[in-house]
Amino acid sequence: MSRWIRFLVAIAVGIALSLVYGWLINPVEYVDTSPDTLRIDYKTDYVLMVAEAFSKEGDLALVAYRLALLGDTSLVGLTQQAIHFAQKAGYNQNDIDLMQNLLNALRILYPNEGTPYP
Amino acid sequence: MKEEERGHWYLITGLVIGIVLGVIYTWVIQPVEYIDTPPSSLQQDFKDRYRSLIASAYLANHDLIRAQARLELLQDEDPLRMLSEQAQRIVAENGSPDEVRALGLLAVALSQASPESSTSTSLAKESALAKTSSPTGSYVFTPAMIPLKTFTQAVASTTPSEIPTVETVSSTLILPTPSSPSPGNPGTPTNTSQPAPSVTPIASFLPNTTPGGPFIFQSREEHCELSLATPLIQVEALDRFGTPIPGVLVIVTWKDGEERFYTGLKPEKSLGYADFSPTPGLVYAIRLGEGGEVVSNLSALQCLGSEGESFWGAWMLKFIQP
Repeated sequence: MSRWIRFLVAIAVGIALSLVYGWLINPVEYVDTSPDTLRIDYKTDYVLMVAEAFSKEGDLALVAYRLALLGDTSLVGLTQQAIHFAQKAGYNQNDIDLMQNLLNALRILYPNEGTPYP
Repeated sequence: MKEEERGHWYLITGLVIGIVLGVIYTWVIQPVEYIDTPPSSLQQDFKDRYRSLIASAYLANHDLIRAQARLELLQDEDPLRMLSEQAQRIVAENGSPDEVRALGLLAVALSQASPESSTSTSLAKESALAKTSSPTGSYVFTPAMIPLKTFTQAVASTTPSEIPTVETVSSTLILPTPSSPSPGNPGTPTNTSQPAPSVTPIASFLPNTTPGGPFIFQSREEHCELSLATPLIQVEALDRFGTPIPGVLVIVTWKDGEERFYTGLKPEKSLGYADFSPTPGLVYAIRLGEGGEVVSNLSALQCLGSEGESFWGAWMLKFIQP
């Protein structure tokens, strides 16, 4: 084997070692993340919690404060996305209704936000 | 230079270059993006807000099992203690009383659920058995009864171990509530019989903060055996049978101020317990609820030891709701 081939093999081994270290020995740990990085199902449950609380409290300002935690998406769009996911995932109809009520209330507050979800 | 003279350093050079390339790829070209994270990875202050929302949602739906499942997503070592501590922290920071109340009531519900789970489980099993015989009518389980069965289909899809199942969660609140049939709901388990008529409604499980008349003062005791670092005024709210009542508003007033908090935030002491540290030199008045009997002229209790040394003690005030 020529020196160049052996040299390239050494580089490949180095790359492999660094990937093994980064992915297996010392993989990334998710710590101190923010809510906007939550997976879609967790986000949907978060929106559901907001909707549940809203059904009792009726406080839209509090809703906006809570939903804003999930990032810079429009609140209406965020709720639409949650409803869409809930429908696809087969959530209980009561839960979907709660989110729909929340969406209706948000549409009054933000009439120009959001588009119908496909 | 001949190959033998140059040795094998080129191999080490190649290895180092490879490692550097790998690091550049993982850190610069394709760096880690935080997406699709679970709630357990949230920063502490976000976890606090998540926990508060769980408590607020619980106050709305009274679904303890769902609240428990949600709390488990945060992977706190001791969810009950976290709820209590957060409630106390908010009180100390003069935060929202509603938030404190929600956290406190959820903590109380959780603490009450644990010892009763075995009884309640058998209740749930009995009612489940009772559902198998009658052919008349049908009803749909509400989320309060089937914890996250449909609700977590998606949530549990990739991380099933994070969501407790029906079998692993305390079944305290698996109590059927009849509702109209919903045949078009594929994700909702249905049953084809009548619910057991003797099932206790969920509401009875929750602390009832407004029954009966106003609280009246029952007793005041000195506690000097505690050797406290700071003085303490302790309060316990009891019903007429002597059962501690959580979630009762305690109103403490003094010359230039007022503080409000709730019983039950330290369930490890008593569900009807609350306390605060008075400032030495100030005189306080305490009442439970807006219309409760006022106990006045309270101040920090100073105790004397056997050798004449002084230390702080605690007043224990008991109130009864007749």
